[in-house]
Amino acid sequence: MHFYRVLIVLVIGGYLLSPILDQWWPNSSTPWYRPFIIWAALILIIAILERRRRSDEF
Amino acid sequence: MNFNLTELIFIAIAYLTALFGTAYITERGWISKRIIYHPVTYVLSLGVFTSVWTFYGTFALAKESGYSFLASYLGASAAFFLAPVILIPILRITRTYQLSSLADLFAFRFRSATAGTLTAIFSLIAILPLISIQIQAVSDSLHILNQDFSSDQIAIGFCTLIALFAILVGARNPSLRYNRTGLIVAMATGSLIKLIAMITIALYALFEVMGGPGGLEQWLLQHPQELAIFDTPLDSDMWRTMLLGFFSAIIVMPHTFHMMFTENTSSNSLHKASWGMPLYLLIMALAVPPILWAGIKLGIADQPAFLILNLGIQLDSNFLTTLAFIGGLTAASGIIIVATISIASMLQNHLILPLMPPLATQRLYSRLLWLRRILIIVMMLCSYLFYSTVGLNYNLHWLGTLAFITFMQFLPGILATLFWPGANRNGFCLGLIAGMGIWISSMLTGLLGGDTLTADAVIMDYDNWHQIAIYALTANIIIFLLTSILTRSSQEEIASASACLHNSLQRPVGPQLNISHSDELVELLSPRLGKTTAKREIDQALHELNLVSGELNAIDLVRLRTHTESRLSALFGPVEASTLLNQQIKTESLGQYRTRDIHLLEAQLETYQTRLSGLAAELDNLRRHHRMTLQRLPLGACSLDEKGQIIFWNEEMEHFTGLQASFVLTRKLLNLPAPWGELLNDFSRQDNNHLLSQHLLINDENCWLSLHKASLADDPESMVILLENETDNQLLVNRLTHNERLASIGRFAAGVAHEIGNPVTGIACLAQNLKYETDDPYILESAEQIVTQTQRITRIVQSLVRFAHSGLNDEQQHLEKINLKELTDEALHLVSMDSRGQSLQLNNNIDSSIHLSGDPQRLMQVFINLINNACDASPDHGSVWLDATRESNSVVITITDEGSGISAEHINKLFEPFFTTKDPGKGTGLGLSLVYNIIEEHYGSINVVSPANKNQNNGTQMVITLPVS
Repeated sequence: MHFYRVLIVLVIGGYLLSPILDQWWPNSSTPWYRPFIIWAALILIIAILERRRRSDEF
Repeated sequence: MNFNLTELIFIAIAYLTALFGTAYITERGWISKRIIYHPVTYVLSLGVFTSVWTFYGTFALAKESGYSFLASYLGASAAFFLAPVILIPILRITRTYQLSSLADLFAFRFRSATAGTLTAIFSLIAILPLISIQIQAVSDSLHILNQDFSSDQIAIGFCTLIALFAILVGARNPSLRYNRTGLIVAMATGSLIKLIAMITIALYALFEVMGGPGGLEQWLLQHPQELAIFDTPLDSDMWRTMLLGFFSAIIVMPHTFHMMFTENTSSNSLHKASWGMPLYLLIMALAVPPILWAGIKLGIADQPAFLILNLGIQLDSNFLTTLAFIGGLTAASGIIIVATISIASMLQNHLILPLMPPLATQRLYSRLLWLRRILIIVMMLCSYLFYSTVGLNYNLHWLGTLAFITFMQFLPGILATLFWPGANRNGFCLGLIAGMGIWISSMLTGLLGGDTLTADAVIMDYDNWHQIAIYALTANIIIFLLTSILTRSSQEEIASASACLHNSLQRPVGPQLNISHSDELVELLSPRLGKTTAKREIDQALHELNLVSGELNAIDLVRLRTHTESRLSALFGPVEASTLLNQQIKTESLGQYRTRDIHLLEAQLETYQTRLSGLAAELDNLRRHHRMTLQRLPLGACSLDEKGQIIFWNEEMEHFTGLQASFVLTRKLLNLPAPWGELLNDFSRQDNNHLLSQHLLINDENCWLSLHKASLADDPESMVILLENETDNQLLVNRLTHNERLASIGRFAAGVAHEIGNPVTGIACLAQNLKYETDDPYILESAEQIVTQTQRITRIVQSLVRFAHSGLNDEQQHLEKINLKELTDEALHLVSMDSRGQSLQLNNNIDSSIHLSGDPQRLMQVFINLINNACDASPDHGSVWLDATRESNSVVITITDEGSGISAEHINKLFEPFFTTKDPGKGTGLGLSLVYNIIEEHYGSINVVSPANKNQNNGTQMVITLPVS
């Protein structure tokens, strides 16, 4: 449970800080597809973590 | 551009027929199982989330407020990123307890029918605007393609078609957990079509309209105002509300909940979806900006919601237009079908069945099916009415957003289910009513009141709609928290809460039934379900658990009860299932761990090892170590709980008693089969904690065992019993005692022989001399008698000496290869010379090919002794047989006579020295002892079978087993 509590704190923290990300996205010097690259990178990390999951885990 | 009406109707019907065809051929098994159960199919089926809101409405949002449109995609992706923490645990609960909707989940968690009913009603209220916009989108898109007909008529036609399809796919089996692979594959096909449509149109827009990525950059540089919309800082409060709204919506919306948890049972697929679904959403979202800018470039962005459709019309491309139309149709039909099926099941379980309980009838299943079909039709009717009275007046994307945000009110309930065992039904219901009340009264009633587009403007120009949503959610959470803290949870609810907690194990949550036979469960359910249905349900449950109908032990009964509740839950929902099973329950303590639960917990801990982490994993390792120590203990160990029921039975116990742990667990000692039941029960009740070398006859074999016990608690019934098998030790001790006795007799015999021999020789000499001293016939006869008697003494002394020497002269033993036939022939010949032997028939059936290794003189002595004994026991003109059979490593020789046999009490003493059944003076009692010793010296064994002839109850058979080499 300890691990999940930490995760929940991180998620809530990330959620509250997400507007900062919004303000950074529209920075005109960055290309329009920049949010999508970050999103894709996140998917890649999750996919790698998922592959490392032990097969007998629920 | 104006499409022919027939063409459009044909396209729509062809598409829906193809979709139904896909479902049909999947269920008929014509599609490979590898494809059906592949995680990609599952991930695509979750694409049902991307409704027309994503396919059409998102362009309007992107045009108006730039990156805000990403909120729906990112919110949903975040839910999938957190799949191991949120989605997987929900899947575990729904799968274990056969829950088929969000209302089922809440009704189960809070053990409250009200919680289920409220969830069903609020889900219906929230889903109506969402279905309404689907109908609106399809009607409008058809209207754009063909202005010749009324969109109202098309909406009716569309609703009818979809209702028909939903009934065909979703109301074919009375059980809601019946695995409908057809629906999954059909929805996956739909999502694939949406994806292909979106990618194709985006690529066309990018390369054909914008002139490739370079051209797009160029155009954006020339039109900075278009990019400026994307550069506008987002309203952070609105952004956060939308993010949270879509995060909650994808978990709790009826159609996504149904696809994620009811249709799917594989946790592996859901793990794959944790990145697969965000990837799908990313591709769908990435296509939006190029298509939007292409639309702006072509000057068709004044109706942004249908931009994707107008793109094809503007470019005069029938292909693109048809693709966009089919994409929209897919998006709309997918969500309507799944949501309708799901809401129908919720209404059935939580609104209709509690009001009208199922009747005991043989047509129960068909009635349930018809109820579901009617509910699907009613749902479609309500959706149409909402569309025609309210939906028509509002923008597609705003109505959609409001609907999605409504589902946010279920988030506290979901999080409490997974992470907060203290939450209770009062808190949940009041919180939900408060949150939904604020939101619906301020938003949805505003919608219902407005009948023109100006009303739309009034409501949507509320800059604070997102604040109202957050206030409603805050009110929901605060009331939920406070009420849960201030009011008490029922025992049943606490048990349910712990079953839902993250990392918890499956435990029976209901009270235990006081039954012992599976038929009693049938009788319990019969009054409500009807005899046939009740029997069918129980038989199916027994079959799925690999049990047979009849008397069941406690663990199997708990398993059967839990499984039956799950099956009934799939038919009627958890509330009705629980009511059906708990009809006869009296108050029984629920808070305590029960013996039966310990077994279930242990069985599950064995399989859930890898799910534990941190301290729990360490404790589990410790538990395994201790359990293994007890299991592998070379002593039998069993423990009893406070009720005297067996809760532990280790491997050695299983091995020694031949009773499997699964058979004995939860039984009382007295109920174990003989001789264990009586022995262990008597021992558990006696005062002395030790019982040493207790003799027991098991399978006609002698066993000796020692028992030890120790109390486990203050309660006298709770104890641990150790069982030590001492049979080998006892046999060794017996043998040593026997040998010791033989040795002392040997020493005694040698001494006696020595001491008696000399005087007897003297007496014999004197008697001989006496014969020469006198002619008196009386004295001569007396002298002759003395000589005869001294000879007899000498013979006895010689046999004593022989006995004393046997076993002592191993090194002198003369081993050679012996032909058994020749040896026994010679023995028979010697015996037959005796007057006794002459009147008997001596048969030697031994095969001449059998050879042995041994001392021929000593073995001769064995056979002469045994044949002599046989002859002595045989009646006149009787027969004695010698037989031998060759085994793999030994030869078994039998000597059988027709005598009267040996009584059972004499058999055990037969080989003891000086034991004889012959008349006094006829035998010394040393013959068989000698035989025994000689056979032992040859590493063989000798046994007695009496009576040899079971039919006539006479005869004795001596069985000698000698090794071949």
